[in-house]
Amino acid sequence: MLLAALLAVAATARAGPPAAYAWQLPRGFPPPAVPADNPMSQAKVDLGRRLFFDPRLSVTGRYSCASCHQPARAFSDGRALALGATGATLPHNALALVNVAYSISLGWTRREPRTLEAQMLEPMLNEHPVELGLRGREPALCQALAADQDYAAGFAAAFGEPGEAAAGEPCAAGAVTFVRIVRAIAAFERTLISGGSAFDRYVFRGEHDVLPASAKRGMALFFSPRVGCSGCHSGINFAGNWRDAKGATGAASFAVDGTSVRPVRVPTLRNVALTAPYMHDGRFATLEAVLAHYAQLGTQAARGMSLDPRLPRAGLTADERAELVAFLDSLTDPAFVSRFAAPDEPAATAGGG
Amino acid sequence: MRTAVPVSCACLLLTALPAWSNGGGSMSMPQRMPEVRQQSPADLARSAYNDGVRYVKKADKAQAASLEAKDPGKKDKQAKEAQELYGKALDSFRQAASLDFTMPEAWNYLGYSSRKLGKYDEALAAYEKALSLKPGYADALEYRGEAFLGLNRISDAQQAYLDLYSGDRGLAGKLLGAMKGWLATQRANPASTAINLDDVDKWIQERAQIAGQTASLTRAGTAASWR
Ligand code: HEC
Ligand code: HEC
Repeated sequence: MLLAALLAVAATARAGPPAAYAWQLPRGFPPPAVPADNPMSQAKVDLGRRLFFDPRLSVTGRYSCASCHQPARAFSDGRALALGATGATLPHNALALVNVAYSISLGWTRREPRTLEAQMLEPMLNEHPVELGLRGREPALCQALAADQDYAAGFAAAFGEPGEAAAGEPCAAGAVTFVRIVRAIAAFERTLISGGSAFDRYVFRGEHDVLPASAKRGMALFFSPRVGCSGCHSGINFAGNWRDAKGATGAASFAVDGTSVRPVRVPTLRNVALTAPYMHDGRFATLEAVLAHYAQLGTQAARGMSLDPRLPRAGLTADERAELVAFLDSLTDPAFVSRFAAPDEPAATAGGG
Repeated sequence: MRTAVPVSCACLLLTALPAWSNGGGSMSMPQRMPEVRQQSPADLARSAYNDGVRYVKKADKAQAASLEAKDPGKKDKQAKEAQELYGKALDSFRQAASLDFTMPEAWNYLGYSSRKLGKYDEALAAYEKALSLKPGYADALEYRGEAFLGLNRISDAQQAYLDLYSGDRGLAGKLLGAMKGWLATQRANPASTAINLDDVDKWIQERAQIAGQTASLTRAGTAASWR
């Protein structure tokens, strides 16, 4: 794919050497990996943040990344299956965007794409079904953004003044190019780092009274071999292996947990209380329903029918399920949610067009 | 009073910095840097540092022997020897640090030998200096935590533990072990402190539990769960 290749190789163009970016990392979080051709800068992050919420990035002018990735829901959408700009239903539940900078692969079911830049082409350009519906509209998009003085200045600040567009660029106008749009949004996505939950305060800041006793009991269950959640939901993001500036801890973590014959990527459990409904197909409306599912897998395992040795090895009592839910609740990071809830966030709506 | 917690020195290798593990309280092997003929102040500092490392290594050995010795006379003799050697080490590290003010390892071991001699305030100042030269310097954070213990500054030691915990769980575990030793000593001698030992005990147990539970959060723990 030409554009993907361009994203991988195009030079950072005429931007000067970027000042070292100051990550705001919670305790216990390593610096994320950043592609060499898309170094972080505050100007780029600010620009990407605006673009992420901008309904001009859609066929209807009323949809944006944030329509399916709402800050208040930890950047998920509250639907079982996501809905595209023109009202088409997507095959999957919208993934929350939490610590995506550390993901080895992106999406529920495939081991590709592996960078945020490459992933973004899917919602932007997919036609079956349409998500943002930008295919064929790239030139109009570049021109509209270039005509907006704030954006023109923002692109120039983030990437430098325009040069001639690289071959294969879907659009270029002034300092605005398609590849730069993608890079700016990816830089913003890398700042969606959540590590300020009650759990983090308990573990990393030593605030021992911040977790209620039920959550502490749930934590003990979560990390116990019998219940086994942490066998799959391990790592800083409770999503198995991760990748940071030092490299990956292993291969992307896919597993079977009874929702599908084929392995599904282990999703993060950070902020999970905000991201209902659950699973790749949104089949469970509540965390209680998810726990009932795992309890049933445990009961089956006790009868010798285990899908994966890491899954619960015995059923879970109602108390244990409630304690596990209390623990999952403690993974909510209120500051993460409020940090990005801009008051002028566009109220984007699907359908029509 | 000196802390009753035996600590073995994990001395640093200055030229090739990595691969120095400071864990578990086991005896580690300090290594010297190559000697040089041309003597610039930095060279002299290295040479003094190497002398210090030699003394520290011998001192740690003598201290360990003293702890193990059954015969009181031998115990005493080894302990005295250890003190003497720590004193020589301290002189060498002081010299190294004055010749090259920017050598965090020299400050770290200046702190270490001071602490072994019961000079906790000097030790703390030296660790502070090491940490200002090399922020997040895990060995210095751990040693400093032990110096806080020596001064019965428990909440500072607890903070040192938390500072270490997110970056180096091995060293954090070592400091937690030292806290357990501190607690045992205080329990054996209850009048020695006004600190609520039950609170400290509870804190230590909670941290040990947290560390055990969340091992899968670390790089190694994550990799292990996906073997
Ligand atoms: C129509 C709804 C919709 C829109 C609009 C949308 N997404 Fe998504 N997003 C999804 C769905 C659904 C998934 C899960 C995809 C899959 O695996 O099938 C997803 C997954 C992702 C992921 C992967 C997260 C992970 O943990 O693997 C990223 C990153 C992402 N989207 C970013 C964006 C960006 C950036 C935009 C705007 C350019 C955007 N999305 C627009 C619905 C949407
Ligand atoms: C064998 C690996 C494995 C184990 C063990 C495991 N999970 Fe999962 N978990 C997954 C996978 C894979 C998914 C995604 C499944 C899907 O989308 O269909 C998932 C999804 C979830 C979700 C939904 C997240 C979302 O955003 O939709 C929750 C909540 C959850 N797990 C909690 C737990 C708890 C609690 C335990 C322990 C009782 C546990 N998991 C044990 C692999 C595992």
